Amino acid sequence: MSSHHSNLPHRPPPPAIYRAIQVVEAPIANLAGMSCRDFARLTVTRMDRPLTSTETLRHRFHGAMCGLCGKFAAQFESLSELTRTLETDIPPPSPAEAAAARIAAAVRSKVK
Amino acid sequence: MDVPSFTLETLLAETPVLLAYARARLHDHHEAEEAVQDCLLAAWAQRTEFSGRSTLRTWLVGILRYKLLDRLRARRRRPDRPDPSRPAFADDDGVDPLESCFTAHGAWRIDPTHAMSALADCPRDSTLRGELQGLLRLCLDALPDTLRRLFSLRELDQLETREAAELAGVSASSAPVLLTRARLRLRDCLQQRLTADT
Repeated sequence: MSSHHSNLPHRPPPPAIYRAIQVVEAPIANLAGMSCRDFARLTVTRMDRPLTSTETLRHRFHGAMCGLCGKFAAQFESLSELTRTLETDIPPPSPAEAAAARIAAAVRSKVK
Repeated sequence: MDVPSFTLETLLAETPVLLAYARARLHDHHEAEEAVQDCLLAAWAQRTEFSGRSTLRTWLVGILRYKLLDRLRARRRRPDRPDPSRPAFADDDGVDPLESCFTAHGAWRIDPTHAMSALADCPRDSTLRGELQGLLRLCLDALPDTLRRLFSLRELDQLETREAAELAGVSASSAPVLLTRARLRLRDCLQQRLTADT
C-alpha cells in the first residue's frame, strides 16, 4: 500500500500535539521496540494468540501512555464483540425463494 | 416440557433466514440447503429443549452453525471432492495494511481514531449497534474470500486458530498473518464508512 493512502478522507493525519511529541519520542520508542507500530501489531496479534509476559508488559505500558493507541486497541475489542453477535441479526433473505420452499416440503415429509 | 414451544410452521418460517446464513458460510447452494434441512429436522426433534431464553432464530442459528461446521470438517476428510469454497489464495495481495499507517520511526501517520468513537465505545444502544453491525457486514462481504472465511471461522464460530486455518484451507503458519490482515482491513473499511457517514 503506498503512502497516498494516508491522504484518503478517512485517513487524516494524527493531531498536531501527537505529531509534535512523536518527533522526539518516536525514534527512542522505536529503538526500544515500543513504538505505536509495535503496539498496533501486538494489539492485533493478541486477538489470535496470547502475548508473552514481556509483550503484555510492553503493550500495557504503551497503551496507558498513548491516547491514540489506547483507543485503537479498544476498537479491536469492539470489533470482535460486534462480530460475535452478528448472527443474531441476519440480513433479510432474497424474496421468492424456491430453495426455501423445497426445504420446507422435505422437512414436512420427514416429520409427518 | 411435553408441549413444543413452537409449531412446525413457525419453525419453517425461519427457513429463508437460515438459508441466507448457510449460503454466506458455505458458498455451495446445494450443500447449504442440505445443512438447513438437517438443522430444521434436528430443531424439530429437539423442540422440547427450546427454553425460550433466546429467540427461536438465535437458537436455530446455533444449531445451524454446528451443522455447517460438521460439513466443513467432512470436506476436510474428503480431499478428492472439489470444494468450491477452497481458497485460491490468489485473492490475498500480501500487503501488510499496517505499514502505510506509520512513519519510518513507527509513529502514526494517520489518525486511527478519526470518526471511530462509535466503534471504540462498543455501544449498548441497539440502534447504534445495528448500524455498526450493518457496516461490519458490508465490510466482511468486501473481504477477499480467504480472509473472510478464515475470519468467520475464527470469530463467528470461535474456533481455535489452528482449526479455523484447517477448515479454511490455509496453513496453520500463515493463519495468524492472514487473520491480522483481515482484522486490519475490517477496521480500515469501518473507518472509511463511518467517515463517509459523518
